[in-house]
Amino acid sequence: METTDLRLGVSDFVAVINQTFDYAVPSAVIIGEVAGLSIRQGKWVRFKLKDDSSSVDFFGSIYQMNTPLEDGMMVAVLGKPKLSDKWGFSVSMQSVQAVGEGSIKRSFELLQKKLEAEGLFDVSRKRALPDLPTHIGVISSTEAAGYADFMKILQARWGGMNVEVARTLVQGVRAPGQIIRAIEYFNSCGNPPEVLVLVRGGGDADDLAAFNDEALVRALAASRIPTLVGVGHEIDTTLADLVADVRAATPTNAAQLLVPDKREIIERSRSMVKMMIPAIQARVNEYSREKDDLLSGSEALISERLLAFKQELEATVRLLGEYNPMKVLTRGYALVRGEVHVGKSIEVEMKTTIIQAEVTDVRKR
Amino acid sequence: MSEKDKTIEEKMNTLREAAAWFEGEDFSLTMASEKFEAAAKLANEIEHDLQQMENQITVLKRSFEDV
Repeated sequence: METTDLRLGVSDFVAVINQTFDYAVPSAVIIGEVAGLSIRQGKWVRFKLKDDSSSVDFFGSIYQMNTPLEDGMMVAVLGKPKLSDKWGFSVSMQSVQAVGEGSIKRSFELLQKKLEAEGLFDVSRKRALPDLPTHIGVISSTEAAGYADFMKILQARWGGMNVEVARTLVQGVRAPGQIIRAIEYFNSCGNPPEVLVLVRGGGDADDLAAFNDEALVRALAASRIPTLVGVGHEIDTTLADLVADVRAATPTNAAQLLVPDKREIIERSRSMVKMMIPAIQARVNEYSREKDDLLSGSEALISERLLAFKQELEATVRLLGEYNPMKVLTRGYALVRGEVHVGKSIEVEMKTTIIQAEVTDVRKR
Repeated sequence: MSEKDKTIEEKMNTLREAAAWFEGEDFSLTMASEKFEAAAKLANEIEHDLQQMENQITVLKRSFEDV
């Protein structure tokens, strides 16, 4: 044995090794297949991660197992290597995420069933988003395309809002923890936003696996602030989508669901004013028609009255004509004027002649 | 509250009421011109307000990484 070698007691050796781990590998994401999974006292989780040639022990609490595990499942575990003075070497699990399409699908199904049974996805839990939010909290990676899409559409559609953005990872095993802390931060604010928006663009199953994290889903469910989640493309469904108060198909759709389009409102207000003109025109036309009807009715009445007067006048004239003494004379009668006494002179008027005569005899008939 | 102090929602409601007046039984030609001018002015105000509204975006400096 060389004299330069360290000479340490077991406890000191354990401490030195752990210090070396802290310095060299403070934490790591280790990917492998789960084997020998055991949960003790409903609290402590042990399993191995293995690949073709190696196998490593993992240890953690059930609360850190944020996705359901089964033997044979491929997972990525965020952990910290540790040499325990009693249990030997293991990696202390901080969080775990399924990787690979098959494992993600299986993990999704197991967790969905569990959370569904608890009622976390019930429609009765869903809250409505504010009609016109003035203060919104956005949780996303500001580098992500999905965030850019969301902000672009939000800016184009509506204004006057206070938008607070919490930058977090949106993929990988560290993402759920950051998103949870952002949710908790907004919920603890003195002046909290009226709505929380969680957005991320499209990706493969591994990219979106963070949104199937149990703790994240529970944090969304526990949020006092209504939540809007727009993750991935239309065909993607994550558990975060299912627990959200409102689910958007994409980040762009999230902006569309959150605020109205000011261009539509401008068009609508213009249209409302334009629609008033036909109402005025219709009333003018109605009054005009009514006036025309009244005028033509009056004219008809006047004509009718005039005709009646004319007919009455003609009848009167005819009647007066009948009473004209001259008309009697034409029928051969004569008009006699003067005193009818013997010796007196009388005038006899006939149709064409007037005769002066003397009365020579007067008799009673 | 004057028209200027109203929010866009309140202005939209006023405009909706005006539009309803034109369709309703209270409509009268005598008042129509005045009401129409007020509605057109309100629609212009709404458009102006909407065009002027800008969002205040704050990216929080706070880190949400693991402690």
